[in-house]
Amino acid sequence: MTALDFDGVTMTYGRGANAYTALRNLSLSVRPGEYLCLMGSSGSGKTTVLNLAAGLCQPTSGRVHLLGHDLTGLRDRALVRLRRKLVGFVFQTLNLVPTMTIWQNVELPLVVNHETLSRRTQRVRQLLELAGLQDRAEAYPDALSNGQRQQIAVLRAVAHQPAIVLMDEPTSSLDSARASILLDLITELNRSEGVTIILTTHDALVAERAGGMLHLRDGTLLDGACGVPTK
Amino acid sequence: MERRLGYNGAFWARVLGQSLRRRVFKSYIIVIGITVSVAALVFLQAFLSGVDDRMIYNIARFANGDVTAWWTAQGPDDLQVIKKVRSFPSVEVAAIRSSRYGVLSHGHDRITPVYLMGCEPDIETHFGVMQGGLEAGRFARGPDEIVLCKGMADRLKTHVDDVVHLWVSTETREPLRVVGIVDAEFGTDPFMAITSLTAAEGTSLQISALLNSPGAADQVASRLREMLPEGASLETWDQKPTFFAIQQLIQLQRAASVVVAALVAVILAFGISSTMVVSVAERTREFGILRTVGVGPWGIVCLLTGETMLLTATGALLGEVLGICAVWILSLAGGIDLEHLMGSLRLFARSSVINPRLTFTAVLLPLSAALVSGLLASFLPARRASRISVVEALRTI
Repeated sequence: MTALDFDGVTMTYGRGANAYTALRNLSLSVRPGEYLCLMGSSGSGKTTVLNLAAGLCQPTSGRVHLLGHDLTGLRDRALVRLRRKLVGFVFQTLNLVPTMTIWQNVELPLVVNHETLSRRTQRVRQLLELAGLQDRAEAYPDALSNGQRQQIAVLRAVAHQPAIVLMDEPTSSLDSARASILLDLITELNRSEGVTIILTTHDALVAERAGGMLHLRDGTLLDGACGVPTK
Repeated sequence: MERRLGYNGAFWARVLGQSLRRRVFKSYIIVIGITVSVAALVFLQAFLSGVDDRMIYNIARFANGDVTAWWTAQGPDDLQVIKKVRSFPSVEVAAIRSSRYGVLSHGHDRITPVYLMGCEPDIETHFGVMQGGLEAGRFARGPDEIVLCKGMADRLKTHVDDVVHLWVSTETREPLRVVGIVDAEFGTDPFMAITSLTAAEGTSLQISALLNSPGAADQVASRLREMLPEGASLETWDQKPTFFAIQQLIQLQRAASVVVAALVAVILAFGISSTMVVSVAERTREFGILRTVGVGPWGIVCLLTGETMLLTATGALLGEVLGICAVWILSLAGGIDLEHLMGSLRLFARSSVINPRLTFTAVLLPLSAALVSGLLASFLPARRASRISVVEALRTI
């Protein structure tokens, strides 16, 4: 079973003269535990791939399978349940809930998955120690640097041990030193937890750290055959 | 499962509190608005109850019957008249009262002239004259008992169970036991049981009769005149329209108070709702993040509604406390005298002092109005927030 499967997916926003096609007949497969990087310039369709993979929007045509679940046509309630269990998300910026402490932000996915308090405490402590941020547990996001905030976002994305973590340009707002620390954390999580990671970027240095790479341009995959990541 | 829900509840409760603390200015504005509105409503309701009480009390004081007659006491046979009047089929209830001037003394140096009123306690209860107002003891029942108003008891320095003396002439002195004390609003006249005054020379007697049908007033008056000595005054009047007018006035007041409560609730709802709409717009991205983590639309609705309801409940409870304290302080101060506003109205001619009174309506109506308006005002913006597309929400900064 693949972690993620896109089968001839086309995604068009708007209608008529205002229609804009973000993805054109895209097919790709991602294996469980893979660390895949999607590269492409702005408007190439990277974020749309992530949104479709998380079930945040529905394709105009084609099918999306997440761990064998066909997301196409699923009702919102079922999508929320799948997302809650199977998906972690990291955005480019402003990832954290500003009214929650760092601890609570990391704890949040465990809460919505109804984990017990002891399990939550153990897991959050483990993750904060992994990132070396245990002493900032009671701070609010606005007291952290950009790099630390992104680290916390990554920790939150993997807290409930999802099947797949989707990261939308997580390093784009960071300088190279902080980006490197974040990428180290992502690599470590991919290695130690075996979590499937799909990361989008337009930075070749970031892409180099991934296990595989796909290039997107104008909503289609470059690199020849669909679904075969190149390194 | 229950244990897990409990843990989650504690988590969300903490988050809710933090969220309100981090928006402390908006939270204060909402709480203060609700507090002031609820306090004003509690006070208004209590004030209107006080107005009702005053009207009922005043009407009870002057509406003594459909037929009233006065004459000067002739002798022991006077009391027979009341027995005959009570045997009339059209008479529902009839009371006899006596009154005369005298001097009360307690000790050697404490004396005061009084206008003594004799009455039948059981009958007067029906007319409402003796209802309420008793501060200590009981009403006079026998010939050697007296009830004093508080002012007079203070002047004579007497208490319940003391013995005072009534001088009806320079030679005649009757010992009377003080059995009760009524508050100042009851007037200044001391009450006695009827039997102690009828025989005294110069005593005025009065018969008041309430009829089964007001149409019989002239017939009863005519028969009464035959029994009374020459020179007796006789008056008939129909009090039912007055009672009917009061009933209508009270109903109008109650309707008005509900309308005012509804208006306040609507204004509150608009205020809360507009604050919520701004808040939702500011927090769109936050809701988008929560949705991607797996919080469902109802989770967003519960979070936002919970925040608003917490503020509403806090404001409403503070408002209740403030309103109740205001009513309590005003009661301690002896009420509000609205003579310049209402003194010219017959209903308030005797007394225009309004003592706000807390009732279940006064306490529960504002609380319910605030909670319902808070719920409605928060639910719609929260529902809207829960329906925002996650992708759109994540695009906002």
